[in-house]
Amino acid sequence: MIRYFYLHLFYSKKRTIFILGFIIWIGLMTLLIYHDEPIFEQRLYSEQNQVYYEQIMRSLLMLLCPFFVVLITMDHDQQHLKPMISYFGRKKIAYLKLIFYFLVLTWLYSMFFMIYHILPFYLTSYYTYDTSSYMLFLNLYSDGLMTTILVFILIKDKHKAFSILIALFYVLYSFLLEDHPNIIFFYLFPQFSAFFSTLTLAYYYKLCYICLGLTIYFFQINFETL
Amino acid sequence: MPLIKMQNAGKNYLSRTFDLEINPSDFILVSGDNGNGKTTLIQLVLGFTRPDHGIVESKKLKIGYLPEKTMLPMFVKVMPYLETLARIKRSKIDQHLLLSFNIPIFKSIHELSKGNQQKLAIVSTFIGKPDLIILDEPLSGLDYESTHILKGYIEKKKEEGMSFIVSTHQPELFIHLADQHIKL
Repeated sequence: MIRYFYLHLFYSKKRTIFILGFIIWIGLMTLLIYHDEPIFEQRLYSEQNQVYYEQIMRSLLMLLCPFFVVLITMDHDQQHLKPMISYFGRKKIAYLKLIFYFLVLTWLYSMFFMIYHILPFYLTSYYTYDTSSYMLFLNLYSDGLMTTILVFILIKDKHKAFSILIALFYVLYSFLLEDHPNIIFFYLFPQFSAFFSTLTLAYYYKLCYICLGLTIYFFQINFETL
Repeated sequence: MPLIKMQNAGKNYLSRTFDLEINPSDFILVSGDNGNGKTTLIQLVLGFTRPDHGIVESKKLKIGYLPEKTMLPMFVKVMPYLETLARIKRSKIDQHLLLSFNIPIFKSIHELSKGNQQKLAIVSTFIGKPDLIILDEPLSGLDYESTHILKGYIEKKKEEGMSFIVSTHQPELFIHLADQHIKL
């Protein structure tokens, strides 16, 4: 079944779009981090350079990841799944779809994570591997899951173009959380923010939020008219 | 034990309700004018919509469903699509039916004509081991020859004991097979 979803999602044109997306992403990163300063100068200010790199990448990832996620998940509700639902049942298709998209998200964020580390390693002289990036990617991955579940719940085949609004909402909400770090905003939508990521309970809250989203999704699957 | 049992089931927007019992190897023919509830009846049997009143009782069934409008993944190529379906349904493609229909198997689905898309949808409906086959307007877009190939294939499957619900505007083609004929 996973293969069926794969065939549908990664057909030739869409594969080209994804590859182009990654090339643009790598090109953009190269432009931003490439230094023509001498090696000794880069190493002299290595800490500042590293902080600058991490900050700029965090902002870039927060801007681009939701759009990648939405591009992948917007086609989740397709008419051609109806004959599959009649054969396998609603729940089985819903579970498998969820597993497939989570696998694709894992692959997507792993790619981002690799590029995040490999590119500066070869292009700069200041970059040193830092384990704190794990937390950043864990946060971004969980944000990706939240966005995916939002798309699953709110976006149906007839109005899939609206899914872009979810990506825009994510980006605008991140600006709101940066400017007004109010815990109420975080409770409403617990996306990654530098202010709240230091709270241990924030991760548990996020986990509960994802579980709530999954519960709503399965409730909807059971009762919606196809 | 029937596969599906409907008692007084209906939707508020329809003026009539349905009482129906589908047993193994039954052939149920549904015909009638547009807007009389043929597709609604099929949606109720499939469980795609819930009745506003009445009861629909069903076993856990594997239903092969051919929708009124062809629903296929348009940008996938024909053969990988059929092979994937056969693999996930742990079954085989009926090569005889595929060859009889003469579908261009190396093209993408969106490149096929409407008739060929319909033929492909029919072939994919019969992949697997469904307990019940539901065909909603199976003759839509089919030429004379393909109509007779499909008719012959349905007759063969009916003899093998497969259950069918067929909704069509040309009931005379299947009337000799029907155990029940529902005129809406």
